[in-house]
Amino acid sequence: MSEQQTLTAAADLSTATRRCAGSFPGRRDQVRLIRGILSAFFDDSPAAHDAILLVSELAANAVTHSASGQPGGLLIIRAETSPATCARAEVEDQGSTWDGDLSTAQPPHGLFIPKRPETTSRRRHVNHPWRSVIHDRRGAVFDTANFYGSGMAKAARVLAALKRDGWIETRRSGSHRVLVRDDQQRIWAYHDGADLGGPAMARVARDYGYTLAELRKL
Amino acid sequence: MSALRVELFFDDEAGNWHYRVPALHINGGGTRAREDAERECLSAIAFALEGDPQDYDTDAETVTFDVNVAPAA
Repeated sequence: MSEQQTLTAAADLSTATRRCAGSFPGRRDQVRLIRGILSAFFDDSPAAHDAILLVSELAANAVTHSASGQPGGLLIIRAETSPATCARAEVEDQGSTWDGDLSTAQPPHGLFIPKRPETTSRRRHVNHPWRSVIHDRRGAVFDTANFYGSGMAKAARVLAALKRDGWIETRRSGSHRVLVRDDQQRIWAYHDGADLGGPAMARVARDYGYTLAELRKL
Repeated sequence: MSALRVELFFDDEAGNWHYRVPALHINGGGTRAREDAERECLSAIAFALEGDPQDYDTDAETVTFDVNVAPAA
């Protein structure tokens, strides 16, 4: 962990509530680290996948569009899970020149996330820190029907995008392929003509180390 | 005996079934029926377990294990 990174965790045994919080340098590579930490933290929570996905998008957004992404900038993540709340997460950036007008936010830009009913945020003041809070009610997972944005893609197109970004096919048998980049290996088992909607693309994005918005832009 | 987690999910935007095998880093599917996704998943797991002969160390002593992948009872 670098000097800029901090991570704390706590548990309230009386309410079975667990919390963790951390600050991270405002860099893209930290988004992957955050995703890994939250994956371990939320563990088997039914909301884990969607919570991690949403936080990833918001964290990537903060790094790209707020002062958190400037040299020395920080990004703060808070997460909580309990039987009562199931899952809750916050992403706090260090402010930007954007005034918080969500009416202009559209997929796949991450700004559309705060428009979802599961996400609360207040009108942001220019250049002031801003929090996006993601809630999940007990027994319910996020309504992701509209979260992922529109636009299906054929598997062949997604595969081509991954290859453009450096994934190399090292072995193939029928529709099964081994893709390698750096020290990572993945198995791509889609027929070229298979349709991937937002839910499938989001999982591919996560497993290949991207946010959904990043994968759509490749 | 080890248990291998396979995640099947319905993509309501594309209207088809997909699967993930987190431990083996497999993504696949896109089938109309869940049963087809399950069947294709078994095939993908077999592919993943075969490995690549190019990765083999020809100087090493080797043993071969039979591995059978099937839905848990």
